[in-house]
Amino acid sequence: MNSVSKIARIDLDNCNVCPTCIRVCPVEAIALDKSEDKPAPVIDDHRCLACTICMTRCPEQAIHMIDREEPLAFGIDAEQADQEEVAQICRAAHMHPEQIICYCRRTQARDVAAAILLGYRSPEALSLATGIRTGCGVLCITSILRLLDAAGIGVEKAPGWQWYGKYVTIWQLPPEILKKYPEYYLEDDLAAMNQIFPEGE
Amino acid sequence: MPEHTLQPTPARASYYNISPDQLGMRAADLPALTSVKVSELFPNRYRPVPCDSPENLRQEIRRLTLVALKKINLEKIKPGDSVNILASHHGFSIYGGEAYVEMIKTIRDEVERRSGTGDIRLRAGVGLRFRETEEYIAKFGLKAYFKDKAKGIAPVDKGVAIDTAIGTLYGIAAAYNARWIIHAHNNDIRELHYHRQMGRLFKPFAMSYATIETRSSYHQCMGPRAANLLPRMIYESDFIQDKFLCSCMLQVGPVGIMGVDASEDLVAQDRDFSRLNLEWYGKIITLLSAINSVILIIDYPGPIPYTTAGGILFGNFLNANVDEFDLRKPFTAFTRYTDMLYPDVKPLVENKLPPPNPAIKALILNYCSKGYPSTFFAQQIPTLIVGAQADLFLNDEQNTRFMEFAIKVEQLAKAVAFARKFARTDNILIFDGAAGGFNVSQSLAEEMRQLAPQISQQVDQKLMPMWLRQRGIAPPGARAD
Repeated sequence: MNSVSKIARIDLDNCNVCPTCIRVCPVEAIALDKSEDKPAPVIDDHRCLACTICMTRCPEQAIHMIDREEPLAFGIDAEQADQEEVAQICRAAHMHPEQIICYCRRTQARDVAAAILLGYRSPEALSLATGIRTGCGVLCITSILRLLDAAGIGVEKAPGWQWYGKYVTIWQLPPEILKKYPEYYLEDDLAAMNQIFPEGE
Repeated sequence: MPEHTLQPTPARASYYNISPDQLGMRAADLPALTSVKVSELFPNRYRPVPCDSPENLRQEIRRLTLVALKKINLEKIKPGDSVNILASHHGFSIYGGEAYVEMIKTIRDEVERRSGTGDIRLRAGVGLRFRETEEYIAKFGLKAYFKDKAKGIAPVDKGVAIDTAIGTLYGIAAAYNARWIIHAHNNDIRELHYHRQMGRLFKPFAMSYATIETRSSYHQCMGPRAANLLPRMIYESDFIQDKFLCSCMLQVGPVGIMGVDASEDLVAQDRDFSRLNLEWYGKIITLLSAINSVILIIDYPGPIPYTTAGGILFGNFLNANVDEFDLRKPFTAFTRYTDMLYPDVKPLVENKLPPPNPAIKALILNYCSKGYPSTFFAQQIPTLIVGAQADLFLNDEQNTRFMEFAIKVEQLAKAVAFARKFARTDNILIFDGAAGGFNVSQSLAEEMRQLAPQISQQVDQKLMPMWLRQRGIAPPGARAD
């Protein structure tokens, strides 16, 4: 299990309810509370994994990080998933099961594949379950989408701006592009990638 | 500071750094250090823009930018048209940032003067530190200069779909919400391990101006050379071509700011700059690759791989055991494609990846930014981290496991003494952003001076012709393939 010791806090005096924080949160930890006269964003303490993305994108700098009273543990027991199925999903996504796909949390492909098999079916649910994409929030989104695709789970678009669902891989490049742009070593890199990463199914 | 060392880049107040008053000692102040200048190692015909005073530098950059823009048809812009000047965070850190800022300001003023439009915005992208560019906008007073139309943009912002010849990619909506765009960038060699000097000038279209899917596709889905196709595809899309007015590049080299160039044809401009970058950086990078034993000290207000010495990144030194310019080689030691394969100290595949530069015997982090996933470095290289810098990394959401692999030492001098014992070398190289050269130990300075003549000959006679041929550029006195 992993844990975080910080949590985001919103200074409502400076908040203009824009609602950037809600749209960028990778674990959907922030929602608009409309129960009071003046709507306001609220943070679910059980979901915030302290990635700081809301804090650094808040246009009013109304969000800051504080220490939690107790660290919040998160993670899944990947062993509960069928390991052969985990391996199949990874292979179909051109990934080694032990491959690091989130450099910040050092999350491995097998963790995310197992989480998918255990019922987490969206990038946000997978981030909350494994911690993936709660560091930089940028580099690993396509690996999450590729693993979901490999498991046969289609996703269309995030509720906010977190992701839009389409991506490009070298395994999908049209043949005419491979021929048209030889200066980018496309065919050579396809061969190199197939030597380094699993060939898929 | 000892008489013979070069001035390091000053400490910077930032959310991403320890505060300057927490920084105990700069590495250039260590005893018995010296410096070696790039121009001393490799004299050439190129001269940097004089920067004897900030005001003179600004005046010269303004003059050069105006000259460069003369060949651009800014009259295509009609009064009332909106124009987004697209910039990237890195430019604001090159040799203090003043030259890049002056180039951007001049572009703004010249667009207004020649077109009559007043709707000119600055849209400045970031790396993985989403607040960094806003810090630069505040530092350089750009919000006021752009009449409240300057803002930082980040890859988690609202996106816009861009149909390309290889599928849908995504840009940041705020980058492209204008009738015209001007690509205000630079040629700094910077992430050679990613761009491999193939399409260097295009890269921001898949980075600073792009949302997370596109940036992630570049780093995880395409391959170490082929990734550079993505920004080219975005640039060639109808969406961009309809808006693209010109590019304006701050020319930089290892010895300083070299000039300004503008073009309406980014493909041609990129080719010209590829040749220049090979000339300006080829020998110095090859020289660094010949050093076989060294302790590195990081002492610069940027993330570890982006700290510089002699205009070269730490990231390039980490890869220096492989010729990154040689396009026959797919994998260098560190890219995001290789980092993936190291869940532990050994890679998941055997005998297919070069190891991180074995010349690096120890890494000392005296001063650097948080906000870039760097655990790989500490996992692969014996790493000491000094004082408050360790606390910064302990609370870095992008390096949640970094301190599992690094040792905290309270003082820089003690860290160096310890590193000398286990590294068994007197060679020290400091990545502190010193302009025009390297702060080094005496032994390393001597070694670099001894190596330089043979490196110069090797590059001129063997490597440069090969690098140029691989990029379809005619070597001097020959025809292109």
